[in-house]
Amino acid sequence: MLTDYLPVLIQIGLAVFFAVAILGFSHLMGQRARTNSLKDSAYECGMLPEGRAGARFSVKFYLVAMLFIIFDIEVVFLIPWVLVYRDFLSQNLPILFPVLFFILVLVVGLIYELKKGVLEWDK
Amino acid sequence: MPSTEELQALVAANTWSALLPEILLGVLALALLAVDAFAPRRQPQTLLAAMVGQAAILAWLLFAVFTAEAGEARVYFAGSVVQTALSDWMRIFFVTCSLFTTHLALVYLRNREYPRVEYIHVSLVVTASFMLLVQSGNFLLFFVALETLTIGFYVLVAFARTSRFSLEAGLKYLVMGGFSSGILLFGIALLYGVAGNPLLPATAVDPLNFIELGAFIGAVGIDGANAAHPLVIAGSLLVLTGVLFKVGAVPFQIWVPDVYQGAPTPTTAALAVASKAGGFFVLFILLSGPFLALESLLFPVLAGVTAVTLVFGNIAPLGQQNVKRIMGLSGVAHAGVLLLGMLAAYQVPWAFHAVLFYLLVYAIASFAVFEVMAHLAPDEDADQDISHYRGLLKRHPLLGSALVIGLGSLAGIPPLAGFIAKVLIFVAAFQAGLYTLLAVAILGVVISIYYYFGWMRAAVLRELVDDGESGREPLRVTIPTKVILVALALITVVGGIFQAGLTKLVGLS
Amino acid sequence: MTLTPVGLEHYLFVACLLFSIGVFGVLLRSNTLIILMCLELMLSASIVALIAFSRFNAIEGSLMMGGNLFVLFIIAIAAAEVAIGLAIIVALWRRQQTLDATEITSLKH
Repeated sequence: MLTDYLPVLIQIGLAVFFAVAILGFSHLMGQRARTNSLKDSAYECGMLPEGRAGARFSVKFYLVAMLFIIFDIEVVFLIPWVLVYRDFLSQNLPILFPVLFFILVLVVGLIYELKKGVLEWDK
Repeated sequence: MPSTEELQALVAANTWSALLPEILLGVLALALLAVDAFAPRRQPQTLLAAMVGQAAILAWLLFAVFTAEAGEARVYFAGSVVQTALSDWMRIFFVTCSLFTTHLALVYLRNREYPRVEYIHVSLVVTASFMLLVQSGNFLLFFVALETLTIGFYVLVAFARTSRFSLEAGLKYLVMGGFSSGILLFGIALLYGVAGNPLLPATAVDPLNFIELGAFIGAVGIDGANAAHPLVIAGSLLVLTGVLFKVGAVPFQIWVPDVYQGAPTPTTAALAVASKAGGFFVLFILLSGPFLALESLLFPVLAGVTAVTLVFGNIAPLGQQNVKRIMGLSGVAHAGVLLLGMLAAYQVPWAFHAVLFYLLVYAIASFAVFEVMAHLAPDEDADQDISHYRGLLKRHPLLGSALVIGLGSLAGIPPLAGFIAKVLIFVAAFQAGLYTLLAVAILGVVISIYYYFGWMRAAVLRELVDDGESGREPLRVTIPTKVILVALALITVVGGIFQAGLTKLVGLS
Repeated sequence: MTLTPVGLEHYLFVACLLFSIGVFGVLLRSNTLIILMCLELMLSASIVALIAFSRFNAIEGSLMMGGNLFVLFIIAIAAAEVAIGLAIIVALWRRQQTLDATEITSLKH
């Protein structure tokens, strides 16, 4: 029932209230701070900040991320397999080799990547 | 937890041997990658092995089909895989297309610095998915196969990764393809939900199964027919939209010209032939299976789409100078004619065989044209202009005549096979009483002869102009290519005069 | 305060909302990365709908696992699509230094 979620709603309400209240009160009651460009700049251990905040990532990150996604997703298929593994085994039904074949396909892909040097960071 | 008997029955239905051709194609694709990773120097042998492997699979499929006795549909994997005589025919069609595409790819990659084995690898995976797609019996296999091949095509379209045209085409195809897949999938989700609703009559136990879904949509309860349920209507229209996107019917054709132009020529050929054939076969599966009871809803929609497709597809290529765009836009016109055949199939039983015949003839003629295009393509593959074809007949008579025969067949000029194919579909449409659409289609054919003729005229009549820029080095045409071109041209000519041989192939008498 | 329990229609509402955001995002946004995200949103919409239908259509004796199974495949397909999409976008970025779909227009004749 939705009423079970009422505490969550109250919690959200309290969180929003406190955030707004603290910011609002300090804005209303507190002193105006002096602003200048030095004061507004990011604090980096007392050094002058270098470069822009939105630094570029190397393209290699994207490459590794893409490969990670592909191999990460295989787990999606392994979880249901694990869930029924014992039931199938107890009834002498084939379950190991089909999945091993599935893994084999992925391993061939991985070997291909290794051989082509995709995973070597500084090339 | 299902009982032991149920589990055993499920496992027993997994007849992997029924899918051996597809599995072998996949294994061949993987083996190519593995060999290329370990022995990159032996590339010529690897590529030769790819061709031989495909030819062997094709030969085996042909043997299996001709020795099998005609019978009922074979159902495997608990209804996921349904093999019929027609789906077997399509499997052969796709392996043959794959062979041609491989050959085109070898021609295309000959002078270019792109990886070769990888192209063949992806193309093989796409072929295997096409073969699975045409025998899918439920939406799960249907969607997975469709997406596997679409994602493969994203790679193949963007394969020329240093060409901005190819990359841009890849991005456009990705966005439009992903968009249509999203629409299709949402339609499937709606159908799944409404067909599994226990409160409606004839609830399906497995709503993703085509047969059960068809039974559900056809059922009539106390509150009215299921076919009139808003979710059924919305879901089926969304699914239909997704499929029409793939075949490039108007108004879902926006991606066609750009993607056809930017993609490498072998990919364009595969898109034009295999993708279109797969799309139409899927349309047939859906219209004759789960959506059969929705005829009164879908017929007017499809008729409207057919009319605008025919008009757009025949007018848009006028004045176009880039031959790849011409192939793409005229492909839209061919989709219109094929849609006309699909509509006629509602009333005339043999009309779908005429559609298959049209696909076959279209494939043969298109591959002849694409072979010529692959040989004449400049370094930047997207810039293939009609002017490059000037004086081709004098420059290289074989390429020139193959081009003229291929284009003539596509245009439907009388002695060629393309003419017979068009006539068959028109007769079917006439018998089905689709007179208005028929008139539009015939008008379209007349217009299409005009733009195909512009291209032919450049090849036949125009003199070879030596403007210095369009590289006039002698064309390298290997002996296998010559054999292929002669064979394709011969089939087109002979098939037009003695059509009985070809029509028998697709079950027309 | 009376609250209705979360039912099928709520899930479907969320699904339709996600789907619409995805569709309009693809059609209206010009940043290709955001277009890619909107494509994923469309798939997510179907995932929500499929799971909700599976859960609410299940009755005694008929568990309706098809939808749940379907979702696993959709997740895998979505991942593959994103991987290819990112690859193409990175290659385009290297070539042209722009991700704005309105500027990627070399294919126009």
